[in-house]
Amino acid sequence: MPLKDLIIDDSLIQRLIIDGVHKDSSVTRVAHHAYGYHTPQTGLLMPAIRWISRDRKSVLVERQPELRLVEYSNKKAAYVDKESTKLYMLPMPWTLFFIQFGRDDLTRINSISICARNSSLSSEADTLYCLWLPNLMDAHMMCLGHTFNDSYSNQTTNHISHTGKLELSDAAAIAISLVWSVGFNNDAAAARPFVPDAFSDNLIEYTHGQHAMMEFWESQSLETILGWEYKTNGSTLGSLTELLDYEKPSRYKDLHHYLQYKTSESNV
Amino acid sequence: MSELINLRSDNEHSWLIVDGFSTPKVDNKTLVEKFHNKIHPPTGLLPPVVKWMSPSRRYVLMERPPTIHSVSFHSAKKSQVHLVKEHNFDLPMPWTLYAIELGEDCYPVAISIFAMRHQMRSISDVLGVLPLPNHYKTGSLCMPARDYSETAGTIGQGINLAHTISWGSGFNLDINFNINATFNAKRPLALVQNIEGKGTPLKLFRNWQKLSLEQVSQCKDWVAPLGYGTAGSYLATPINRVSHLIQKFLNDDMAKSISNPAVNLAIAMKESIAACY
Repeated sequence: MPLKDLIIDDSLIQRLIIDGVHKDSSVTRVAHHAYGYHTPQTGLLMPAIRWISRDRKSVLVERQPELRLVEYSNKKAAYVDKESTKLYMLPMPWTLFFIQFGRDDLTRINSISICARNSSLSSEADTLYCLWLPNLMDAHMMCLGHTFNDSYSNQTTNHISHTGKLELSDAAAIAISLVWSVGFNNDAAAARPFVPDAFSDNLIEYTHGQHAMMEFWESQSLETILGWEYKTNGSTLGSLTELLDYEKPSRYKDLHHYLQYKTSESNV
Repeated sequence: MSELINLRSDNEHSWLIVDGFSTPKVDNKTLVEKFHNKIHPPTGLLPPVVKWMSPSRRYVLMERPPTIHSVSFHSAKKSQVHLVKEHNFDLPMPWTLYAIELGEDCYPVAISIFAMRHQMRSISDVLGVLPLPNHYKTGSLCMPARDYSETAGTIGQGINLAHTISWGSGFNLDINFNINATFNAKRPLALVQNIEGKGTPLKLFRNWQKLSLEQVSQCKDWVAPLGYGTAGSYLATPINRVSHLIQKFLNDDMAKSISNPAVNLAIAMKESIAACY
């Protein structure tokens, strides 16, 4: 059975011996990488950042109930035109944005999940509900497409050229702002099982390609929509704990593997 | 050159070689998880008012809007508080910024509270000290003895505990630097005006609780905190802006983490061995 050795000596040199191959590195350098000094600074955080990943490349932002101006076309993305597009001022419940940035830096976005709640998060065990917006796959994962990431990339490049840096808080703010400004269409329409019963109770039968749902939604008050019973999608969206579960270090086989990874990062 | 740590692993287990002897073997996955959690404790759910975190996430800035805090105060040194009456005051507070350092288990080990002129807008915003007892000139709270029935475990829980400790532990006459500085400087004027004779904490609190939240929030000239030094001295580095605080925290964070891998590895190993039994 192959043996691996890790020796740290009193001059704080770390020697990893794997398969007979020695790899020396300074504990200090590795420590800085292990502790995340190579990851982006948070900057001054926007209100209601409720969770930050260890590598500071993922963040959970909570937004309180508010009215949002959104553009919606009842056609597929390729066929969106002026005639099919209308502006709606929609009351939004408590919303959660789980944003995962690219592995290399904050100028790319891997994914954005948007969830709804009737109240602010009070525990990691709280249930997350589907937001009945179009363009959300599995009723929570925003369909980003190349247009979204291109727009995001342009905006972050502008930000960097003005301020000389891109911190986590700025990146999250830009991403959320884009979610609302990019416009919605009928590419992945809100799936019927995840739309609150209030729509069908009021004879608004959800069908593809109709503005009726948006019109009904717009006519509701913030207070009313917070009283609705929201739906879970029952599979990919459960509690906050499950959403954040991906962070466990289970991908490392053993400590040597873990430190080898950090050592290679510190040699970059 | 002597060895601090010698860790040997096969495909499933790891063990330490200490003075030529092997410690019990522990499961590799358990060890990685314990080590990982030592250097990156879980965030947990953060309160929605966190404004900044250091790379290790053990140094945190938290902002609170103007609010009224109920505080208890004994006008005596700590050793004699049982001999005097307890006073309770409802003190209106301006925007405040909490600078929190969390320990290994995420329990708060240092807390400073600063008065702000307004909601934080940038890192160049100015800090002031609140004229509260049991706070040093730097704005840091003289920490009460730890209540070991309370544990943190996550960064979020540690931050919430820091807020509870700040206002729940009660004040006494042990440290009055910032109250004296406020009387001497006569600012913020709203807090000290109409007080006759020698200024005392009791007189200050009686006057302070008569003010409205709006009046306290309009105070812009809080006494500036002094810089942190070493061994009880001050002024080594002025810390009167948020940016100074962030720089100090970044330095402290980095200094603290440098020697940690070997220590953390040893602790993780010890915990993993304990978990085997």
